[in-house]
Amino acid sequence: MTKKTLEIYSVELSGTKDIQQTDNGNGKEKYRGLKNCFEPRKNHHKEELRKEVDLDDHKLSIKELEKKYGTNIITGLSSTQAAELLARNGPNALTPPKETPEIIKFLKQMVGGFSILLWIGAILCWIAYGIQYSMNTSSSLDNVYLGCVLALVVILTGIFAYYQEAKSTNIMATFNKMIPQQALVIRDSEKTTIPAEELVVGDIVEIRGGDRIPADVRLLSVQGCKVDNSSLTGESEPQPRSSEFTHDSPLETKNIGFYSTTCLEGTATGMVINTGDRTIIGQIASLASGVGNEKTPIAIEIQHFVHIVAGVAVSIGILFFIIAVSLKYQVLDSIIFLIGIIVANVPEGLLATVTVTLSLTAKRMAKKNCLVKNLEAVETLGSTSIICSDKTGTLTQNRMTVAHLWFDNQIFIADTSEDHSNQVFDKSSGTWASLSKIITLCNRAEFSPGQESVPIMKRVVVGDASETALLKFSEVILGDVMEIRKRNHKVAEIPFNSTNKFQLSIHKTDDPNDQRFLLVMKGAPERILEKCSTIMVNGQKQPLDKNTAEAFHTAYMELGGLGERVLGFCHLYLPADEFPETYTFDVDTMNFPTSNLCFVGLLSMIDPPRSTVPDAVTKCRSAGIKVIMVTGDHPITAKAIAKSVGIISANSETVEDIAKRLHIAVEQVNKRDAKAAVVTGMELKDMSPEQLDELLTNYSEIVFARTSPQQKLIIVEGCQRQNAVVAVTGDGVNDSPALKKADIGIAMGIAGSDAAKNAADMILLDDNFASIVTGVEEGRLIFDNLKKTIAYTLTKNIAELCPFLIYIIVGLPLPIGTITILFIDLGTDIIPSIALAYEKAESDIMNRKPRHKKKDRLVNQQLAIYSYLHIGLMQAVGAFVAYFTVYAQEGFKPSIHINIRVEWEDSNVNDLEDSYGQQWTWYQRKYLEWMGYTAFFVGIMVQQIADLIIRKTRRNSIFQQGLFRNKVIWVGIASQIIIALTLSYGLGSVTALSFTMLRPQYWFVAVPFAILIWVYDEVRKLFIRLYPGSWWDKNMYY
Amino acid sequence: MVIQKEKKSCGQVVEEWKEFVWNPRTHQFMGRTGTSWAFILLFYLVFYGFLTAMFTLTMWVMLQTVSDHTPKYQDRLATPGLMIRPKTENLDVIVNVSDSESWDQHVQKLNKFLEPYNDSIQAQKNDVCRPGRYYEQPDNGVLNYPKRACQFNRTQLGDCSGIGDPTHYGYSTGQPCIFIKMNRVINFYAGANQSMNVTCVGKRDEDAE
Repeated sequence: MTKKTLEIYSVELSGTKDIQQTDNGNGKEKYRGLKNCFEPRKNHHKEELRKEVDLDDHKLSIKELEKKYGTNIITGLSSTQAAELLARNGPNALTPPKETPEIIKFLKQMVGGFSILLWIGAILCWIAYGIQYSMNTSSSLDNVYLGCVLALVVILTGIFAYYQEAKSTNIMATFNKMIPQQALVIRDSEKTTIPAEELVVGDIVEIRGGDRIPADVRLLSVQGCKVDNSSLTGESEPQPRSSEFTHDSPLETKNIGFYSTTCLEGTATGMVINTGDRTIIGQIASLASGVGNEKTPIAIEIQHFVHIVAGVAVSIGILFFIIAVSLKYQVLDSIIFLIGIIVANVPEGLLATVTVTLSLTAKRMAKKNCLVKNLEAVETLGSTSIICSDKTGTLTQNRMTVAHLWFDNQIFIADTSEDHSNQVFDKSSGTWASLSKIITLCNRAEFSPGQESVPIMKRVVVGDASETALLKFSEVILGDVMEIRKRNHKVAEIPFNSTNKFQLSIHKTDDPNDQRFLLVMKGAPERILEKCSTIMVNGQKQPLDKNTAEAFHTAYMELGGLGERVLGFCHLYLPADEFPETYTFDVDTMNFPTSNLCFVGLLSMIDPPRSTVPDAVTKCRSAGIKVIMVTGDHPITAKAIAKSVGIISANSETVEDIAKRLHIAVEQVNKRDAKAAVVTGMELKDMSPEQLDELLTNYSEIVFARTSPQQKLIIVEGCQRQNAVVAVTGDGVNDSPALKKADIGIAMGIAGSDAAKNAADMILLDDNFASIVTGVEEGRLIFDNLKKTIAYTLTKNIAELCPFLIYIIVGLPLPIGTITILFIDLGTDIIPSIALAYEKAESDIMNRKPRHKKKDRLVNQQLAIYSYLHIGLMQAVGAFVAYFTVYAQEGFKPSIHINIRVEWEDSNVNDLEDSYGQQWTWYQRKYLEWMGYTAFFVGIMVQQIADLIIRKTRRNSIFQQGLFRNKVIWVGIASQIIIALTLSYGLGSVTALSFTMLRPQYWFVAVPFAILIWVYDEVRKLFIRLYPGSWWDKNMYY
Repeated sequence: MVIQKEKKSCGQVVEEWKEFVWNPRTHQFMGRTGTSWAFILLFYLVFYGFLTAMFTLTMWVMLQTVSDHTPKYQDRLATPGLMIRPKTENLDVIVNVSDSESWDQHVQKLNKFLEPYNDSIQAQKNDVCRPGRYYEQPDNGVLNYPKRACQFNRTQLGDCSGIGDPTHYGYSTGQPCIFIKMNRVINFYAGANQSMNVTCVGKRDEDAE
């Protein structure tokens, strides 16, 4: 029993009509994907599901309900009862998805990336000290300090990264905090308003049009209530509610209202039957959180990069450990060398820099209406290759708008842009005068009061979508509609209903000389035409003959073919003799004519595309991103919108189009000829995964129409099988599995449900597709800039590493100390590497294909080789020249350096002779050594300035890019110099830092090499530009 | 849903490696064709050749700024260091009077150290200077090299000279001679800045006598 109902539950969840037609087996097959997602959590939720299945409240009578929940529908619960229940069942709110405990997040930062290597370094330091201490209790504490510094570095960068992460999560937290919902509830026989969170089972609540239903409620009494269940079922049509039990399934029956759905109109009273996580929505939301999040592309890239660098560090470290041991160095010394090599190899500051860079971009994107929840998602958007977009609200404006008019046998186009400012059709015709009158008068929609200062298109209207469209349309063209209606007093009215399919009203006219009543009518065009015997052309009544009827049908078909909702309009002046001024109209007996009317015209409405979308789609196309439309809407409408925004380009055809053009059967068309495809949910349901794959690969322009939110998940999976990075937009609760599954889930900020926002990686604040495209641009830019940052940071590692290697092999005084290296990695280099994030794109990044997940790596072979073996080595040479200069001018010429190490470092040798025969004490030598450190440090710093400048571009010349366009770079350079000056002249006297004052000329020793780096890189870029695709290009472009 | 990871069998991995090392279809060795390898080798030959030349050039230019005979800067050597003889591993001279082996090595070292100060050698190599005045040997336009030092005769050391000394620099009698020597620093004028004080104290109290 349980098992079976479980299946039914999941099938019915989908809710749309086409799904209902499937039998159980089919549905099961179709939602395979969804099921699998839920599999891991299923057991966990079994208990709750069973409970859900037991839901039979819709079958119970009111008396039984009262008994079950110990309540009374007149007096409600008593407040003591309510408090008791609240304490037992908890507040009526969804538990937010389980978050990783803060401490775990923090610890993850502590051991992630390079931190492990640095911990090893620190521990080796302490071990080395331990060994020293056991041999000689008075050994120096240097190693302890170094270990502490390394540990401190790890902890500080960890705290920093954690802080950055937390900050970006905080943006989300503030966003999530919404105005607390209120509920009108009967307690202790009194109506009170309480926060919806305090609702308990058994509460009697009142719901009015516009309210969000505060919990799952069994409706007890209903007046014309309609609800929007789209967030739950994907059904976009308003659903009528009643208090009768109409269906066995709780999801189908009309007497249950679901938590978080909206009541559109009418009022209802209901009893709360489930609260919080036990509501249907709550259960779906918690199930969706079971869909595993996959690693973001940038996380994979960074991991790849960390592996490369750590691999290099560890292998060089071990290699030289072995070399050192075989060169008869003591094991202790060799361990210290190993630490040096690790520290030199690891770009300590880089991961923090990457985090800052990403959060800078996230901020920039937030300004452009893309709110990024997860920092890494910033880049994911850039590597997106397929966007599965909703139609309504994302591609379109999400409001019905008059698009076309037909009168005088002509189709006129209305302006559908966001402000309607530019209506150009012919308004001089007499027919228009009549038509406009009908539009204004035969309309029940009204502006909410007090909005005179609001632009017409933005005003809030009470009324349904098409009436709203007509109201706004006429307000824009004619001016004050309410005033016109006042002048033409309404005497009788029949509102629209689905059996009549028309709406009718009778008015006194505003012409004082005309005593006739005016009957105006609008409705489904064919029904309206049936009621007409004449038609108005150029303001004149003409008999409705076959030709005009034909013209009507052509126009109707044409407008319908555009996917537009068409309405017909007609009127009749009632003869004054039959209907005198005092005549009383009775709408029930219909004591007035409803046939032989005069047909005036047609109006068609559509939810028009946002004006920025076509450009955005074109941009996507040139950027190699496939845009797939996934909508619950009708295929014709979907196709029309797809065509108007360019998702289906002007010259491409679907199989059906070709068949129609060639007048052959659909089966005879060569499928390869069609570029576009419109696939309905029904067709999708019958497809095997292989067929779906084929569809996705063979057609470049695809529209999925009439799909359920669950099918979105299947589409996403299909795209991911093509190795694509998929971005998915969604707003409903049922979208959340697809949003989670997608590489980047984009929730709608305005229309989106909380569950969708929770599942998404990004929130689109203005619901606009165009914002996604700007996001893509930022994402691509950040990938390029991260490449530059990493190249910049990696370069100096060689300059830091070489001294150690040469020190071990040749035995010269140590050119640069471990602490000094840390001052480069975490001091002078930090701001410049962040500055590269501000670099503008080199060329139009939206004109190239999305990067290939496996081929276009963040750190590729070329980048590593060019940084390490070209620029890095130049830096090492330059820095060594600076070091030798200091030593030679102080008395130690280069020739004397060889194998001087042992004596140099022996603190008991206080008369070591230099090249001139002068004798140096240990302390004097130590000071000279620090001077060497400082000179080497300055050498690297000077060349890193050149490195920073060359990294601004990868292909273009610096002069094409503009030296001064990115001001932050100059801030970076200034920071490098200032930090170096401070270290040398300001802190030169602090022994622990091992910096010294340096003669001014030593700052310029490495300048020739800095210039060389710049020139060399310009030459490299020149050849890349001159010979694209050549050996040089392949090996030198990173 | 979990994306199925492509599991590679061991054989496939070996096969891939083989193909990486030598790909018969594209004639690639380690991912590069012969020409590509030739280019790479040539490139690095030229590149590193150039880098070496650049290094040599800058070093040569730098060495031009350094004189052969006088260091350019001596800021670290304003105060010359002092050193003791006999020099031992950790500068402790530990002697046990009754154990001749404990001081024998020190005696050897001192003998060796003082040998160049034998009067005959001094007279041969060094000049006699007037005490109380600096003995300067300016270049005066012509290079004056090698410069000569003032004579310091071993006999001036008296009891510690070790000449005809049965006490082995006092080691056998428990009054060991320790020589303090000043580090050589070019252009240093001793006493010009300040006088030097040397205090002799035993490391441990019981050594005081």
